[in-house]
Parts: sequence; structure tokens; C-alpha cells
Amino acid sequence: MDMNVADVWYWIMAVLLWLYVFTDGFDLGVGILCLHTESEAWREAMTASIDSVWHANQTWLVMLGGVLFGAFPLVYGTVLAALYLPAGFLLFAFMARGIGLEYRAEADRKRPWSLVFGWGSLAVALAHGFLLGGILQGMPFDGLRFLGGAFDWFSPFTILVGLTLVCLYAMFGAAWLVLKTDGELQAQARLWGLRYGSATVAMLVLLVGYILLDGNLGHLVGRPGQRGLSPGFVLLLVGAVLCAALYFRALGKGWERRPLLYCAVMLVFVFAAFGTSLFPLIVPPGVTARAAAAPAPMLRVMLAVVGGLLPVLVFYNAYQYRVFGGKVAPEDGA
Amino acid sequence: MTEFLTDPVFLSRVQFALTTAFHITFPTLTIGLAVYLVVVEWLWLRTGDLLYFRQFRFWSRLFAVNFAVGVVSGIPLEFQFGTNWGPFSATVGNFFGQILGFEGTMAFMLESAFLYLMLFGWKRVGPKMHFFSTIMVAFGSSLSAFWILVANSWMQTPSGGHLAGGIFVVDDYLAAVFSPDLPLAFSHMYLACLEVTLFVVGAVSGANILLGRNVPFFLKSFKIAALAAMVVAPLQAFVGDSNGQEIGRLQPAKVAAIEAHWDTNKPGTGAPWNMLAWPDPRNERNFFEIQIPYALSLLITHSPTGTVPGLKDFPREDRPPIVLPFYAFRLMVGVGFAMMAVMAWTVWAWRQGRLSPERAPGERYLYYAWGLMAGGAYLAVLMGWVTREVGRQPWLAYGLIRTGEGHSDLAAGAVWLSLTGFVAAYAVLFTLFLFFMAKLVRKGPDMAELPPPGHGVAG
Repeated sequence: MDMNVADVWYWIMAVLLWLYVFTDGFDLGVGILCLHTESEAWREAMTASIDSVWHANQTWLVMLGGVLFGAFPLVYGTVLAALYLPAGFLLFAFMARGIGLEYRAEADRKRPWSLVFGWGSLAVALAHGFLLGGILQGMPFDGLRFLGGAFDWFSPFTILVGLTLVCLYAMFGAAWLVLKTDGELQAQARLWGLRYGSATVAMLVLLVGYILLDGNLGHLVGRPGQRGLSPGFVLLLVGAVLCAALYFRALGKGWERRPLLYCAVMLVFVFAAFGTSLFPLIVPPGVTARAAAAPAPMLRVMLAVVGGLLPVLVFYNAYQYRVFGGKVAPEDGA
Repeated sequence: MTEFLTDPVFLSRVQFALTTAFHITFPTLTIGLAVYLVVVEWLWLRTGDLLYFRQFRFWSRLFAVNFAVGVVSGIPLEFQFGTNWGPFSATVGNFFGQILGFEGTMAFMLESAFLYLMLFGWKRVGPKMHFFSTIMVAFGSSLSAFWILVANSWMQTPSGGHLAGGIFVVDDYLAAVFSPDLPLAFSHMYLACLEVTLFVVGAVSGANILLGRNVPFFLKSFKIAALAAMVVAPLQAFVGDSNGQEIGRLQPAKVAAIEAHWDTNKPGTGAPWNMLAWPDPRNERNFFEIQIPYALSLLITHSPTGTVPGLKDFPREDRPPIVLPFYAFRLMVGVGFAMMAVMAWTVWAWRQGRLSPERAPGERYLYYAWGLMAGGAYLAVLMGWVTREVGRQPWLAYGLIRTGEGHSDLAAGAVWLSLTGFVAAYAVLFTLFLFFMAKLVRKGPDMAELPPPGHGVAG
């Protein structure tokens, strides 16, 4: 148990990251999709659909940051400093997204705020990609010292990850809008869903292809230091693609709930594919979860507290979603 | 002379100080206003008086705008520990980071999830569930302040563990959470949140009364704020005084710096209090000083001849800067006394019947004073934190890690980039905040608004 509590935390972090990427993903996606229409009436319905949930969705990141800080202080203290520029970019993008959304509701002229919200959301998605890609591609560390430069994160790979996330979030956003809207907007959301769903699948294929071509990214697909894909990775990736197929079918059949459901499950497969390949590494190529973790007694305290509270958090978040369930009702904003 | 402009540590400190100072003004009002909303909703549920329902609706709109800026400006703080203070984070993160994690898990999530129910859930949930949501928002924001103060107090008086191999190891978990500084520091800050809120509510109400807009409505909120402030302002003076004594015990170098007090008073003599002074750290003296004999001993030890260690008792490398804490502290205390004076004035005016609906709009200067105190309350909060944090120097965690040991290896250019970005972004944020707040205040409460069905009069 003593040694394994760090591993438990690795997977809790994965669950939290999944919760964050899925929930904030669809509201960021709604933001990106706002750039695809000029109709402020549509944008009104689109932003109204996420008004009730985006604060809480974003809070998963605040929690994720805090938990990463506590459970893996070495990662928090080294990786963020090494990724100073994309981390800063993320913070400014967050401000733009949040302020665009909040002040859009208060302003008389909606259009500028819609654009701030839309471009801000797109920037957040890219920043997520730069950060995530920057970690996944590997960071050279000597103990606590980062041996690379301030622009090491910038590579074809991180740009690919960023663009993948943009497509993925827009795909989630479209699925969310299918659930929350009706009429013409819903029909348009289906179309967006088909386009961005296809783009996401294409980006995933491209990403795996790039990993195969680049000899230094084997750790992401279960073959550290070699070329090729591990059978486990392939299996999980097939699961993800299957979910994508089900998603397209659900969109085509006119179902309203299932597209979003399949998005969530697809993300589970993607996370599982990369997560199991990377494990036990937390920052490739050299830092394992166990080596970067806080002392075991501290991890156990945190496990009791956060582990005990997580179901409660999920419960009241779910309650919140239920209260504001159903199609967007503009009069709620009154 | 301009070396500090290319010093990433100095720039990181400036960045943290600026972003924190900007951020803190928002949760301060959030915390207090959430309590105010609980009170008016409770009054609404008890009395069925529509005025209270409309109080809730009006102030909750201001709450929402304020909350939004608080959130977007707060996220950078958490991340700066990692980006700019990496070695500090790596050393103490297993405790310090965990506490911030608890803040997010227990408090901030509660606040965020129930916020929308409170603001827009009137038509979707019943009166009890709505009231519960309001309480959860207030509870979440207060709990959030608690955990943040746990983290900060631990930096002031690190306890419950020791450093081993470059990592802070916790021996006694509860002792680390409830560090000696926590009880008074949390009380002091919590009361400050209430004070800021009460003076903001009072000032906004006063301005409207003065202009003759919705006088009965704003007279109600003005009186609620005044009544509460009559309790809170003196209580804060008492807690602040206790806090001063406690810090004299826990962080003597900080007190010596706050008071520009160089020489320990000899047994049997009293330490004088420097009402005003200009310190000269190089020569370990003050260029000039206006002193009150025995007063410092009385303030810190509550005995006229109590010993107060002077700065010379501490090695030079352990002394905090002096000018900033010295003047910041005096500004804070000055505002505190001014608030009490305004309270006395308000009590007097009220007793004379000058706050009746007919006469209240004539009390021009009283509302000016309240307006001044609303700004003063924010100033006092900021100055209090300057005293507290600059006085903590040269340590990140007092006696444990020095500021010079805890910073990330960054290029000055990168920090300049983020620093100017923050300044620009926060300037825009602040302008927008004022614009939208003013817009909401000008619009005023909707005096025709009725509660949705199910939220009937008298429950």
C-alpha cells in the first residue's frame, strides 16, 4: 500500500483530468462554435446553455491544479516553470473566455463579447494542447533542474495536440448543443458535430502517425524508445474509434443524449490508451509518479479527504445539471 | 541601481504582489456579500416582505459581476506557485499544495456549483432549496477564505513538521493546519471581508438615497449595513489589537520593522512608540521620529515596561524591509479608527431621527463619509496584507525557506512578458468591472419584480 498510494493518485489525477477535459471541453467547444455563426440569437441560446455549468466545469481545473500541487509537488514545481509561456498563455486565454461570457450577458452590444468568448475559448484549447503536448513529448530534468529552454514546448507535436483538442472540444460542444437546443440550431449543431467529429478522428490518426514516425515518442504508445504500437494501445484506440462511429450513428439517427454520452466514453478510451502507455511515468522520459509523489502519509490523508469528497462533488454537480436540464430556456436568464 | 529590473526574483515578487492585491479585493466583497444575501433571504422567508426579496435580487446581481472578476483573477495565483515559485512548491507542496487542493475540493467547487442555482434557480427550485443554495455559496466562500488563510498562516508560522532532504515532512498534521497564527489571522481577515462589504453596501445605498432614488429600498440596506458595522468595526479593532500582540510573540522581527524599533528596551524601561519615522536601515536608526513614551510596550505587551525586541537583535539578513510595513500599517490602523468615527456619527444621526425616509436624503456628508470609508476599507485590506507579507520577508515560509531559495529559474524577459500582460489585462478587467457595476447600480432594483410562483408571500 505504501508504495502504491502514489499510483492510486496517478489514476485519480487521470479521472480528474477526464472530468475536466470532458466538462470544460464541451463549454469551450460551445465557445469555438460561437465563431461559426454570426447570429447573436443563436449565440444567446448557445451561451445560455452553458451559463449554469461552466463555472463548476472550470473549477475541476482549479481542483486539479491544487491536487497536482499536493500529490506531485515535484511535478507542479518544475513542469509549470518549464512551461512558463504556454501556462501564462492559458491564464490569459481563461480570462478572455470568462470575461467574454460574463459580460456578454450584461452588455448591450453582444457581438464584441461573443468574439472575446469565442476566440478566448479557442485560445484555451490551444494552450491546453501546448501544455499537455509539452509534457507528453518529454522534458529533460536533472533532479529539480529543467535542462531545456523556454521554447522547448513549441514543436510540431504540441501544435498537433493543440489542434486535436480544438477539434475534440468543438465535437463535444456540438454534442452538448444537440442535447440542449432544438429547431434550426440543433440541426446546425448536428452538422457541426459531424464535421468536428470527423476532424477529431482525422487528427487522432495524424497524431498516432506522427508518434510512429518520430522515434522519440514511443513512451506514449507503450513502446518506450522504440517504434510501433503496443497491442494494449491499439486495442484501446480501436475502442475510441468505435465510440466515434457510434457517435456519428447517434447524430444521424437524430438521438439527442447519446452523442454526448459517446463523447464521454470515447474520451475514457483515449485517456486509458495514453494513460496506460505512459504509466508509471508522469513526466517522460525520466520522472515516475512514485518519484514525484508527496510522502505516502500525506498522500493517504489527501486520499481520505479528496476521495471521500469526490462522490459528493459529483453528486451536487449532477443535481445542478438536473435542475437546469432540458432544452435551453432563455427566461432563466432573467 | 536598476539591477532589480533584470532580476527575475524581484519581478516574480512584483507579479505575485500585484496579482494578489488585485485579486483579493474581489473575494473580500464576495464573502461578505454572500453573508448579506443569506441574511436578506432569511428575512424574506420569515417576513414575506417583498422588499427583502428585491434586496436579494438587486445585490445578487452585483454579487455575480464581482464574483466573475474574482474567479478569473484568482486562477493565476494558484498557478504562479508552480510557474514562478517552483522550488518552494516542490519543497512544501505536499502540505501547502494539499491545502490549496482542499480549498478547491471543499470550498470553491461548492461555491461554483451552487452559484447558478442561487442566481437563476428561482423558477427551478423551491424556497427551501433556494435558501440552501444561498447558504452553500456563503459557506463555500467562507470556507475558501479559511483554507487560504490556513496556507498563508502556515507561511507566517510554519509548524507541525520539519525539513528533511529538501522536503517539508509533516509530523503533526493538525498542528500544521492550525498553525499559531491562524485563529487571529482568519478572524481578522474575515471581519475585514464583512467590513468591506458593509461599507460598500452602505456607500452604494447612501449614494442612491442622496440622489433620491428608491429611498425606502436603499434606506433598508443602509440601515442593515450600519447596524452590522456598529458591531463589526469595534470588534475588528479588538481583534486587530490581539493580532498585534500575537505577532509580537510569533514574529518579533516583523513587529520591530512595523514600528521601526531598533533597540530593545532595557528591563524596567518602556519602549516608545514611533508615531511617525523615516527609517535608515544602513545606519540602523531613524532619520527622524515622533515618539510616544511607553506606548510600544503597552501596545505589544499590555504592560508599560514590557520588553519589545528591537531590530538590532536580529541579524541583518533576517530583517524585513521597514518603510513599507511601517507606513502600510499606519494607514490600515488610521482607516480603522476613521471607520469607528463614522460609525459613531451614524449612531448619533440615527438617534436624532435624521435617517427617517423624509430626512435621510439630506444627510449628504454622512454618505460622503461612508463612500470614503468604502474605499478606505479596501485600502485597509491591502495595507494589512502589505504589512503582513512584506513583514514576513526575507522568508517565504518564516524561518524555513528564504525568498531567495524558493524561486524558479526563469529568464527576466519571460517574467516581464507575463507581468506586463497581467498589468494590462487587470487594468482592462478593472475598467470593465467598474463599468458594469455602475451600470447595475444606475439601473437600480426592479421594484415591480415579483417572486416566481411557489415562492409565495410568507413562504
